[in-house]
Amino acid sequence: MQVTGAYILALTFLPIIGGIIAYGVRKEWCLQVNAIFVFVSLLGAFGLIGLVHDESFIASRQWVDHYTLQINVDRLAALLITLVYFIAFLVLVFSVHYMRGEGGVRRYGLKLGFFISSMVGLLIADSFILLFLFWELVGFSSFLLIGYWYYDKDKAQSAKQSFMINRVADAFLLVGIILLMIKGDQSMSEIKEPLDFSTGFFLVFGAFGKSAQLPFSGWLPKAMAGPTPVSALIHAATMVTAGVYLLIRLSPFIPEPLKFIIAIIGAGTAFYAAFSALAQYDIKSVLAYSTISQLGYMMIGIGVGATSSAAFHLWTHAFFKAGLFMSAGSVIIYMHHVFGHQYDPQDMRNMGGLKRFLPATFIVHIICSLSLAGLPFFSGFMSKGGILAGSVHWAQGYGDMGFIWAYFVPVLAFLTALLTPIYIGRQLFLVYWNKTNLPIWISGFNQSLWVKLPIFLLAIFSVWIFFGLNPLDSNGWYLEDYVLAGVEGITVPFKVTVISEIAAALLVIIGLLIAYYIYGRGVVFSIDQKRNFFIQFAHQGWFLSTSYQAISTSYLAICQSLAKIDERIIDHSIDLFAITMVMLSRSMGWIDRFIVDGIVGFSAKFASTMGTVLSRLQSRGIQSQILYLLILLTGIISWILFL
Amino acid sequence: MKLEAFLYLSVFLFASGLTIILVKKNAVLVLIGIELILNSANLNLVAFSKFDPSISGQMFAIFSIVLAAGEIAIGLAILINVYKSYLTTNVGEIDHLKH
Repeated sequence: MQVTGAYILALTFLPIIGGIIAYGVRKEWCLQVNAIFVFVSLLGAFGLIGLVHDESFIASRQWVDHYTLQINVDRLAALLITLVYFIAFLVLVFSVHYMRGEGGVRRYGLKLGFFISSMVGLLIADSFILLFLFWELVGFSSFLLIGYWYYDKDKAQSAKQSFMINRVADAFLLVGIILLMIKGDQSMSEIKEPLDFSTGFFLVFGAFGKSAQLPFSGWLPKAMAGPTPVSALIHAATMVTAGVYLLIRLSPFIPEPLKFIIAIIGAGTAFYAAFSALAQYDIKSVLAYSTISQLGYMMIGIGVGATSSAAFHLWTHAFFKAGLFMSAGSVIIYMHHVFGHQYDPQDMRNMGGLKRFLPATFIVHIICSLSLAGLPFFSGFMSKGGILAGSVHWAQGYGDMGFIWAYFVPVLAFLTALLTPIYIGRQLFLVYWNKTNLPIWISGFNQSLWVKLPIFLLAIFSVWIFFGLNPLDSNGWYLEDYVLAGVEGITVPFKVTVISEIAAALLVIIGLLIAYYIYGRGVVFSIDQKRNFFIQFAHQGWFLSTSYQAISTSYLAICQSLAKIDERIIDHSIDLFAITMVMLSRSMGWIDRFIVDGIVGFSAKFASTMGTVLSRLQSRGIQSQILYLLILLTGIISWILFL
Repeated sequence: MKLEAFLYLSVFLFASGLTIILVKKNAVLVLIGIELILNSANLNLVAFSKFDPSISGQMFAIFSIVLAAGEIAIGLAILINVYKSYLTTNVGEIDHLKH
């Protein structure tokens, strides 16, 4: 069978069509209808993996003169489409239970369908116009989903803030795209030579925005205002990986200095987010920061040239992070069930000892956490190991050239590898083991099968065997050759790989022990506990979103003062000008009235006076006529006589 | 007696007649003014004739007086008709030939 345009179009737009159809269905069934449509798409996507095995599907169509819209479904795109549909299907199944009793479920389904279609469109887009279009649609639908509870002012505010930060980053992407199109490249597959630095810079920073890298990281924790299944889909598995995906596509053409910047920023982000995650109390915030941290790893992977490891990490991360989010979601369902609206159902300080009540979630959460932490025999270890080894190898290369600073990247990466088990262990201990003062026991709570099934699937997909045969071989991804056949990767010496993997494994174990030592021994965190500056610093995510606010506030202040200047000085001078004009006009009017009109009036008056005077000559009365006759006669005679 | 004395008198008469014509409203007085002017001319004729051996000048004056008598008779007749139709003899008010 051959891939056709109709096949790809159907595959792309089935979710949104499903969303529209489900909008007309009864509330209880609309998400199920959505799920069916996504399931059909998932089957189609599986088919697509086989179909594009031999050659990519490229279709283009003239848009306007000189501009063609082109899609390119290569192996990587097909694989990620499958990933998106797989996670989306599980998320929809999960949502059926999660969203029960919420208002506007149909709206939710429609927004989700819109998002999935946009995301798939982003994955297949090849020409930059399409890429940017879907890039924006993804951001916009994400905004819609974050603002699902739009009537809650804080959440609407969060949605707006994360959307705005994305817009700022998208401006970078747009500039990059314009620079590329000026050069004549209309689609990604047309790029044949390395990008120049400025173009690459703008593209890379645009990608940083979607992938929540510094300095744009602040939006992802804000995005947690949306429903938890949405976080699992968008802010863990799909949308945030768009930036990584774009950079993987562009990686053969990114110049070396820019790769250095990507690695540095990725390492900084990874460390920053892991550090911040240590002080979060919201169960979802921890996961949000951990997502940022893992995206930082992927960026390191791209920066150091271990592109296949980055793609691998993207792949594994999607499963275990979606699993983590959905576990958190099922915990939230339970806490919401217990607390009602009395306490915050997302605050980990209100939880404790939940392993007795939620055994299924507990197991899934542990498996996914260990995968995130990177314990051997879990998927996270394999993919992270490749990135760590790659960063060490890369830093050695720079170190040999005398550029010691490059070691910054692996040091931070390993530090993050240590912090990851600490914060995720902290979450596990706080949620499942520790005690809490609040009454959290409730009888007769049965976890729905629709909640358990998706998270179990994701937990299973966090185990090594689905990704590679050898759990210790970080290059052993089944799909590595399939995905990145054309991309030349780096070959890390065996020794470096082994050493960094051993180090990573040791760090994970040490981290888990530290987490146990600090949080695992029955400490009760009460909500009103005092925080010192460091905890506050980490809790606020290094005040990143505060600083956005400061920037926007100061920008607003500048605008306002400019407005004042405008009002006071410019308006004033315009007023003055207008007044001068009026006065000038008045005086012109005066001149007109008294001088010009005066002259006219005078001449008229003169004429009429003269007329009156002269008409006297013709006056009635014979005597005066005779008199004038006499005078005239006298005049004539005297003129004749005396001149 | 010198010629100038006659001429001065004649001028005086002429001026008086003219003044009466110009100033007086009554048509009768205007006719009197006309008579004065006419007589000043006659006086001139007589005066020049006194220094002239022939008497044609004086003859001319007599003709003139006769003509003046006729003229005044016609003038008064017109005046009576004017008065009949205008009910006034004020020359200032008589400004239409046809009433």
